[in-house]
Amino acid sequence: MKVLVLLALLLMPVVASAQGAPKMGGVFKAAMIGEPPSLDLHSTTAVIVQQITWHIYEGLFTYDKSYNAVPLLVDTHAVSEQGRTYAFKLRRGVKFHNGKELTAADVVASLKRWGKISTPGKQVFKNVEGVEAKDPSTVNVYLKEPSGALLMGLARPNSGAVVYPTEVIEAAGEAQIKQFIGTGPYRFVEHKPDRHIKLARFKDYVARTDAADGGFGGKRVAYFDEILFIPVPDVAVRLAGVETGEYHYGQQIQQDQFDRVKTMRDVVPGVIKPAGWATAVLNHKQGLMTDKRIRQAFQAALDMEPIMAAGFGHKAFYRLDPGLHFLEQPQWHSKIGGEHYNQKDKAKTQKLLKEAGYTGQPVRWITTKEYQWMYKNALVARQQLEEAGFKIDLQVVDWATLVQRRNKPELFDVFSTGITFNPEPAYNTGVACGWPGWWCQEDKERWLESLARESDPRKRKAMWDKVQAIFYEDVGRIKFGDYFSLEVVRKDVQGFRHTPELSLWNAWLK
Amino acid sequence: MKTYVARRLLALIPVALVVATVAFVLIHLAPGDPASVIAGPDANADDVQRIERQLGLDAPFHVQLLRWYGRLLQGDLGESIFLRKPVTEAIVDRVEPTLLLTLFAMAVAVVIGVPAGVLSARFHNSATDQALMVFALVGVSIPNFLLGLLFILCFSVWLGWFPVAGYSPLEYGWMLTLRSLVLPAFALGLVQSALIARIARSSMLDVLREQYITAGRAKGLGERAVVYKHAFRNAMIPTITIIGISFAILISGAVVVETVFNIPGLGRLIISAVLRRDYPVIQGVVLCVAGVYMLINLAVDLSYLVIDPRVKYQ
Amino acid sequence: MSVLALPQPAAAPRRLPRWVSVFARRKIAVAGAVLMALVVAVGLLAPVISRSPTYMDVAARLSAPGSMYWFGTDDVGRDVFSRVVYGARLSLLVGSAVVLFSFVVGISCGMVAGYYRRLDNAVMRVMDGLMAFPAIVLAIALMASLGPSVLNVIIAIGVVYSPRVARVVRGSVLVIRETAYVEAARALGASDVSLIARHILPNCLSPVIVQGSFVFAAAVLTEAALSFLGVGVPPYVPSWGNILADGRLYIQQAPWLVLFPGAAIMLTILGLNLFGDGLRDLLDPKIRGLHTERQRAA
Repeated sequence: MKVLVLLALLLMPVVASAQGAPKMGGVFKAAMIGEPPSLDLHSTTAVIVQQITWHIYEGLFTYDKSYNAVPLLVDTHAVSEQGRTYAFKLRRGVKFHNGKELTAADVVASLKRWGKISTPGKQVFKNVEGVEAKDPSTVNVYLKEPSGALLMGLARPNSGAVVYPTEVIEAAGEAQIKQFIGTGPYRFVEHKPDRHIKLARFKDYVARTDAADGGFGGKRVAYFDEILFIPVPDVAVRLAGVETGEYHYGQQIQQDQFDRVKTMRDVVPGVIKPAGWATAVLNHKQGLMTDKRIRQAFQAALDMEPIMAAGFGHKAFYRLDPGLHFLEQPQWHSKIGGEHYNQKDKAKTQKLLKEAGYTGQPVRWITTKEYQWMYKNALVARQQLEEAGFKIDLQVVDWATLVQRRNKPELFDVFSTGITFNPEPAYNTGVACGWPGWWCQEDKERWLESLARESDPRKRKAMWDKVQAIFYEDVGRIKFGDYFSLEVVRKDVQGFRHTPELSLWNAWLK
Repeated sequence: MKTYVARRLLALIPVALVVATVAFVLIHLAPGDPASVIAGPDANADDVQRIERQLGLDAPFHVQLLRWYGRLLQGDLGESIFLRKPVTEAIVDRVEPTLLLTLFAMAVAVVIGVPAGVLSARFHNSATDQALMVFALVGVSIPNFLLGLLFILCFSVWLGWFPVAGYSPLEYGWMLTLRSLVLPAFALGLVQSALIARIARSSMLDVLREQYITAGRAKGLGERAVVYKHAFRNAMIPTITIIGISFAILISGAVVVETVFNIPGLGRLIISAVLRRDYPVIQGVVLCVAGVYMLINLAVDLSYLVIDPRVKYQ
Repeated sequence: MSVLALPQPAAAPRRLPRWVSVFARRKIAVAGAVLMALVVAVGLLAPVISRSPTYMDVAARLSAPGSMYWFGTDDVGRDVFSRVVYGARLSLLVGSAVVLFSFVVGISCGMVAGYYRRLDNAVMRVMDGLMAFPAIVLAIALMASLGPSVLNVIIAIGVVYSPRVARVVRGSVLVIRETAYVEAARALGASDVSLIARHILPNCLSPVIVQGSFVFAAAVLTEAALSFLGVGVPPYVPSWGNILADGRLYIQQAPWLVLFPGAAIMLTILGLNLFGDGLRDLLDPKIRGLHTERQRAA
């Protein structure tokens, strides 16, 4: 009899899942491309840090399905003083993982820190006069000028404006935070470098009461008991691991495996389109690339088709296009400056190099094999550039090292990276001045500032076009092309959405 | 015998001194000044100076060296730049998979290598012997990482018998751990078993030619008794030497194979430390592995005392 | 090294044919020599028999072996045949440079240690210290300091294997210096230099040459392993280890990326081992298996 009861109990979840209802439990294992360089989301724009930590931390706003800003920790907000004062009313009873209740003081301290150290934060705070806790649950943000982009800035996940407890910020001082405490559905348990980062369900999580909106807004539920983010730098191992059931999720699978993945029984491929654009970032602060002629020579030599084909393999995963926002964002996409893109003009390169007095000084290009495509982009581009007269010193390091080195202008001339999908041009990392590469061009900065203030969509588009024109004329960075990425999940993972941000709340195991 | 052991232990001291010095010099070989190397690329000038003072890198070379010895004696290997924790801690975190993998591979090597060698010697010049020796010869010519790759392709991807890669720590249950180590242990151990087989065979052959064996045969002892009782014991001495050496080789082989199978052990630790220019970790792992290596060699020498009563030491 | 061939006068030219005939009688050694000759020929003729190993024809990436690309192409459209051929060249370069390096360093240190007994302890303790590191681990650590380049790979592996040569040389010198004819030469007033150069060095060459073939094999293997791990030669240099490292990611789609360089490594090492065994039997008939096995193992 007992056995029967047991059996029945064992069978129950099977029955439930057959009906497709969400279910608690399980350990979700995610095969990540590597080790995050930090767990302090304010401190870096590295995508992997956002993907891991935004399960721990939350900000005031987030994106809905169409990438509009919707409230997260905020309950309601009001704008006054001709759009220069924003009053954010926080949700009541939200708890940090250390048991403390979220207050306006935490938000103020976090926003100030974010505005001081994070790349998008610095951009947003150019226009911020002050941040103040009006009462324990209200935060006021005072702007210098009205802004059409503040909420989008606060909603941005990458290097996002997430809220840490005041005491964590105070303990960190100038340095990185040492305790990883937020208000998110999952709490940080441990970080064993090169083994895993373990998160566990935060049982006192206070979710929003509005239903999940299909984006990142609304109610968030932590169905998994635990999440393990496992660094698996080897791309073949990530895919094979998901295929054999070792992991539930593998990111950045080689695109040329797409056809094979489609035939796998227990694996669901997901195409993230667009994921970003592949780029070579030039160092405008120091060294060879401070000379505009050399930058233009660099730009002129490149033939993007082989560069992108080598990097992304399958035709379905790359696209040659000059736009710094994607075709999928018609309100922002532009072809302006396209004549400078994909020139394949080696004679022009040679001429420009001669004018600049270039005599074969090695161009130090840092890239990484952790993102295979970055290495391959660089490899093919190197062949083209050397044929045109450049001398390239390709330095292959791991991703964490690249992210550290790119902050030091004396260490590189070029580095590889990707500019990920971003809905708001005012905060497009691809054109940001404060970001490594330090492309700070007067006219461009002015247009970007007006863009952040303006709220008329038509005028904003015109301003953005100006920025893109300058990008190509001044050679801010080198855009190779758009790429889409391939990720895989096991079939028994339900409620999972394929997005560049990777969100694991509201997903469960069958 | 006691004095012999003591002498052997004393002889370790100069070697250990050289090992420590080499590890020290490693950092000074690196281009650029050691402090900024240690501080890592994201450190500012203040950090570099702080490290310079902290490590006493402003002192003359010989003073630095003496201090380094002092720190080592206290078991202080410094702090990892990237992992932001003491190197000793980082090493302890990684010891488990490497140790288990090495032991498992050792078992594979001995269990396959010794019987193969003995059989080969017993049926000297037979087809079995030749087949085994060709196999062994090919075996010593395959790098372990290549074998590992072929195993992944065959047993994980095609047959699906084993996890393709990764390591399941003991805390999740030893069965899983064992399963995750089967392929790497065979990739590592098979190559070594070829070596052990060759040694076991040649030392068996040497012994079988000795007079007392001939005498044993003349006495009418069966071939089995001769081979397995008399010859085997005496042939074990060179074999044990090679097994001891194998253990040391397996530890270093584990470094390579761990990368093939994505096992987070000492090998991955040192490789990622090299890629991240995390010199204290490199130093630490190198020292730790060399230390183990020395102790094993000592143990091998001392084991003769137990195995072979004929060996006498002054 | 306690058992050693009695010192013989250096081989006179007319004995050469006998050398060859003794060697030729061992089929296995001949097979090894043929394999090695093949690898050397391929390496030397690389520019003649193959295309550029770095040129990328991206449109033809991951082509299967065929008439256009004999060994197929890799993930960025490089010709695998050319890469394997140039890889042979690199392996030979690294192998011979390491042998040269370790001979120069190892023979000098071994001579000094064996001949001048007062220096023996000091020199050999340093050598012991270096040998206390597992080869690959020391090589990795040295590469970390030196940075990725072909020259640095040679230096790193050379440093690792020199002590092993030194130890062999010292062992031989210790025996030879006590022999009657060295004593006699010394009594006749020969200087240290002439003693070493004319009597001792020639007589300890055979074990060193045997050792050389195993150092060569170890150097080839170590280079491949270092490059495979990503800490050897830069990733775009055609090296067997690099091709394997790239190929590992495509092991299902393009197994030729693993199979061809893998076969190249295997055949080369096999050739070297067979050749070395043959040399050993020829030059040093009294040394039984253990000695060289130990060396190879280390």
